[in-house]
Amino acid sequence: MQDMQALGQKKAPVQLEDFLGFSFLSDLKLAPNGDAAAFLQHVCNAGRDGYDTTLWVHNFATGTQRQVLPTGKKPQFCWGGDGRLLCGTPGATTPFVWVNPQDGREEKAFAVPLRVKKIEAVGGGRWLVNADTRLPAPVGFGSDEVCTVLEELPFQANGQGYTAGLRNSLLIYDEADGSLSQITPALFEVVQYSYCAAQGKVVCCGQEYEDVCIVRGGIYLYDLEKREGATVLKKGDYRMMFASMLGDKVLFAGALGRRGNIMENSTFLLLNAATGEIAPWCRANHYIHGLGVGSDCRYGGGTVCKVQDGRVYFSSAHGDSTVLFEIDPAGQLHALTHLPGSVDCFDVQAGRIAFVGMRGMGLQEVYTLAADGQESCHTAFNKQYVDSHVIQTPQPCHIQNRDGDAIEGWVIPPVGFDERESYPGILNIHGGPKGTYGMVYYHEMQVWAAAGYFVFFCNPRGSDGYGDEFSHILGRNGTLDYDDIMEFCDHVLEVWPQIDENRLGVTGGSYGGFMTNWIVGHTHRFAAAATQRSIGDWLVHYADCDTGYWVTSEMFPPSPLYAPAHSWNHSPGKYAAAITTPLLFIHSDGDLRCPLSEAMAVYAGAAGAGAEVRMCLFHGENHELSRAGRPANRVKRLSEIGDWMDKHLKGGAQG
Amino acid sequence: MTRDTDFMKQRRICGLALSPGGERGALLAQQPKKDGTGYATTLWWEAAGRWKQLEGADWGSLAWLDENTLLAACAEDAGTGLYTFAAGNGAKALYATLPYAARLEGVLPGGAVLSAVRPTTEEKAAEDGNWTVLEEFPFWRDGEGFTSGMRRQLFLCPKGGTARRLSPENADVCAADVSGNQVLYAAALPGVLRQGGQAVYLYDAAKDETRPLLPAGTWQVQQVCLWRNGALFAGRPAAEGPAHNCRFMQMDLAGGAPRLLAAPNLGLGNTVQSDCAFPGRALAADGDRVVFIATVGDTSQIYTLDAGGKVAPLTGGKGAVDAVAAAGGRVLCSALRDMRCHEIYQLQPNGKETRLTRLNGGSGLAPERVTFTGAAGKPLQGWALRPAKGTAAQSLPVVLWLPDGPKTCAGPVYHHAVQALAARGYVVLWANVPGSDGHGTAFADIGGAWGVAGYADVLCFVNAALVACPEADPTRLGVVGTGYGGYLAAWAAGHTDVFKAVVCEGAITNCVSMQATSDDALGFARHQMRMDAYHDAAGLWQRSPLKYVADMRAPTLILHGQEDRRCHISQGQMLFTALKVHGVTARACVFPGEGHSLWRIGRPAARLRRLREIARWLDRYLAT
Repeated sequence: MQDMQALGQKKAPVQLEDFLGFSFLSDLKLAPNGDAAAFLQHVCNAGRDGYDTTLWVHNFATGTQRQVLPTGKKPQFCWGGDGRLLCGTPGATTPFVWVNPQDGREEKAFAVPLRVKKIEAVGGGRWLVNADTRLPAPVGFGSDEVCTVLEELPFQANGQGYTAGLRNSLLIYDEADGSLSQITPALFEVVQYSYCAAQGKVVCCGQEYEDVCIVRGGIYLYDLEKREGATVLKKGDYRMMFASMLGDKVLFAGALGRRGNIMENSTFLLLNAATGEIAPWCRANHYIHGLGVGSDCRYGGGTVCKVQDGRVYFSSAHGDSTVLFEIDPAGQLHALTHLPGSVDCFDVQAGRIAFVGMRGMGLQEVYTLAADGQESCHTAFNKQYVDSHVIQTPQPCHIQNRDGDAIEGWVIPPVGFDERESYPGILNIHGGPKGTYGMVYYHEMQVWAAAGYFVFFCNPRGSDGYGDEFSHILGRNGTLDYDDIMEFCDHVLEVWPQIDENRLGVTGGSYGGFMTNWIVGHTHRFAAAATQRSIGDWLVHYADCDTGYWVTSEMFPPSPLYAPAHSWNHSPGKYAAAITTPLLFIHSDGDLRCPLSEAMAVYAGAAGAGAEVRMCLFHGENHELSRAGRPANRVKRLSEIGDWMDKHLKGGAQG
Repeated sequence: MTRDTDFMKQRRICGLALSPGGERGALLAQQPKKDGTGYATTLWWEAAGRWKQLEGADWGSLAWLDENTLLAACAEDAGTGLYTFAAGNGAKALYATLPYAARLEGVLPGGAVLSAVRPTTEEKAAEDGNWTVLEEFPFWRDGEGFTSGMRRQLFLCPKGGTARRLSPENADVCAADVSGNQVLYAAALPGVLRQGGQAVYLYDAAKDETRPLLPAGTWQVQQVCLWRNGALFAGRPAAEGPAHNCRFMQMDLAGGAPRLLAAPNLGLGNTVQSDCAFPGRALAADGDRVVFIATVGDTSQIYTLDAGGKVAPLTGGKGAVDAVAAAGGRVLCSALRDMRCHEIYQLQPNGKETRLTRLNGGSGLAPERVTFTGAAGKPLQGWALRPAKGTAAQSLPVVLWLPDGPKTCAGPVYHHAVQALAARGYVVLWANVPGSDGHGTAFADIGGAWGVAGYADVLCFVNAALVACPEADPTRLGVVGTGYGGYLAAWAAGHTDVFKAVVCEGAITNCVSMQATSDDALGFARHQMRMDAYHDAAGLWQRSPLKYVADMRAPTLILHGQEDRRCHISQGQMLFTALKVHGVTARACVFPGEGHSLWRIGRPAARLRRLREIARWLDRYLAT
């Protein structure tokens, strides 16, 4: 930055709507020979208020990059054995084409009569297809446009709406005769699966259920050669995060979730499918399929855990970064990446490791990782933006809390910081609670820093990336984590006397919204608060949210229904009548993770107590508004928060 | 026998007006559209002693411009169209148009008086459906959607001109009466909290001036009326809950404190529940007297109130009166009488009622009265609809029918869903228990005692009815409840095993979250529960059916409108989750786009589906 300024090139400040031009990368898949990577690029399309997706292939040998297929809706794709890509656009049916990434030539392939969520070649003209299937209609009348019938739990899923009667299933599509046969049992719900080519097997985590899907699943093993499958691990013991084959054993990442810690880190275990014997293999003490280091500049997913050539690779939060790890054949864990930032998805093929990541406070690009640990960047989707804008690097501001734990925290000083001036500050709180903050670009924080705010954030107890003991706060919510955050605030104000303690704002989403609600019910030190997709009443969370019936049952055993005092004591709603802080609610009416019904306990209490309240309720959006909402709504959300902070922390002056 | 589709052919009166001299009546009749997507509303008037339908099918409200000219408002794509119809040739002419949905409230010499729900801020007006900004509580109203920053305002719209607002911008008008040169209206002036009593205003068209007659805050005003050169309103002191019956208060148009005219301890308006009815105006001036509808016992009747404050019954028929109109000494009402659907009746000086219309044919099976001893030892009244009286003992399944409430009335009126269940062979039972309307304030007041007061009486009633109806099989007993009735049904499921099938529709299941999500959240906490979550969550939980889910066994059908703002959809979903976790047979039917009154005013296709779901659930679990 100083070099650039020395050269006289003035960098532009980060502005709210800049994210409309960002590229978000996902679903990186290496060709079988490792020579090329296919991945998706997503960019907001303000005109039609959605996202445009482009499939790219990067050739590592030539260093060239080529767009495959026209930009449009998000496709499903996979590599064929011949270096071509199979691509389809999911709809009621999913038509596929073959694309040659060398010359872009397309050839019609086949159509699968389902909305395909994932497809892989399993050889012999057969394809492993992941799609939702619908169970036979309930007795009497089924769902139609007049009435939605629910007979199962869960009955809804955030982002999908009512789901009762649906199953996430695996099927084999046979090109030869166009047949489609389901390989998972009719009632089986797939949570995660791996196609293991060497063994000719498909390993599925999940469970069969008729009425209620429980959180602890089992493993179903399907033999592609024999065309038969069997449950090799009964449901009920482990919360399953991953399963695959490792040699002739079934490898799985499972957590028993003891002491009410249903978010416990998984252990890798080996299962002898013939004998049912289970042996621990590697206690990685990292969260598999966790949230990783948070950012509002990602869209779409990809592989975060994979077995390749006898080794397990996974990415997971570790301290201030999302790190790529390897477990070697001896069951020893090694970190493969060492730079701060995040590995958002990756692939490993033929000795090559490639990933989509965030490095050096920049936005996502595609990187490869050499055997010596050196990383190379291969794309420049966001380089120009990053190079030409003032991006503030978070300054570490760690503390040791009263219980002796090291709490990592950071402060982003305002752009143009002058140590003789006084500034308002915004405390940002992450969700999860097993989420985490780290050294990555976070657009909202950069926007606030550019608007003249100090922005500070930390990883209190409950956060991911610091081991199981640290992250286990369930059932004690609002106590350990609240104390850590308040101690962190005290410390930040000490270290940065330029922050005006009378002009502090606080915001957070999901569990960060829980904490925002909790904070304003317990202290008056904040002059403004914005609570996003927040939790207000754990009993309502139990009974009205998609995952609540098992999450909160572990938190307040046996369930909030039987422990109403315990769950209410830890619910922000209980303290809402004490709120005096002006409180902005950002909520989506399609949020089924933290439904509006529970945030209203806090809204009603604060309004009743005479606090200034405002809710911006988004229609047709869900829990992912800030990361995957319609662009215009994302702009509105961030404007609402900024205006609220400006109104209360800058005396109404618009930043 | 009643079929489940019969309601598709039934009309109900949703508007009634008499010409200033009382010569001519006009009405609006609503009927389900064949495709089940909504209702057609047709306009009728009296011509030469007969009721004739006028053209059009999207009418919304009506008023007489003069003795020979009818004015009616029609929903149009761009807003509202006002049209006149001339007596004699029946010629239709455009009067004016408004660019938003508006309702006719009456007519001044200078134009039509309309009310419309309008945004009060530029930000609110600019909202395009992607988001809604909410700054008040409660911020929605069942059937209306989001109300924060929205107010029902009064407008004056001259012929061929544009409408101009008469009421203060922040005033949310809840009742209005237009007469001569004046408009008397009551309106709430909400702060952040939408609670507290209404103000009363007088608009004088001669001076084009608005005068506050009563400041906001002290009275909950239900009806207003210009009468005898003064103002009359029916209401209750703001501190009193909805269990309290209203008082009739008089005010001078020059100002001054309201004076008590009468406090007859009668429930104003009709609360007898029927899915074939539609509420209308419950109070009208008629020369030196005022006529009003009140629910008494298990019927509703027309009463008169004179200048001395004397209240006397004018009618005495069985059934329910939904709306009343009076002019030139003539009194018309829309009513459910003689187990018929809605018709217009004219009151004769001798108190007799003459039916003027034949909007609907046929009549339903009449219920029998069942007198029983309530939990407090006093005699109470209920009804049994017996489709096959005299058949073998204990041969028929039985359904306890619990309407919404608590302050409503279960009476001997035509109720299509009930008739349809009886036609399927069910003995259907309903009763008025503590909490109900029609027996005075003390009887209606069960505040703080939900699940206790009323519940035990319901069980007493069932026992008595089973004795009174020997054909009823006590081992095949189901319960269907809506709203508060759904609360009682869910409560019963957790407290007794006598019901073998349970249907909870738009039910309250969690009183803690009810007081944060309901459009009546504040009243619910203050008057129904007499406690609030921020001080006594444990007490509210004690009153919540969900608390007792571990004791629920009966297969339970949950019906809920997805847009129910009275008992939020979460109330039904929470019961469903808890039942499934406990292994109880449960099915939830969520009706997209429907509110709390799905059973009555929902889209016809949804009403039919609801009825079929109920019947199938009962058939399935109460079969022999």
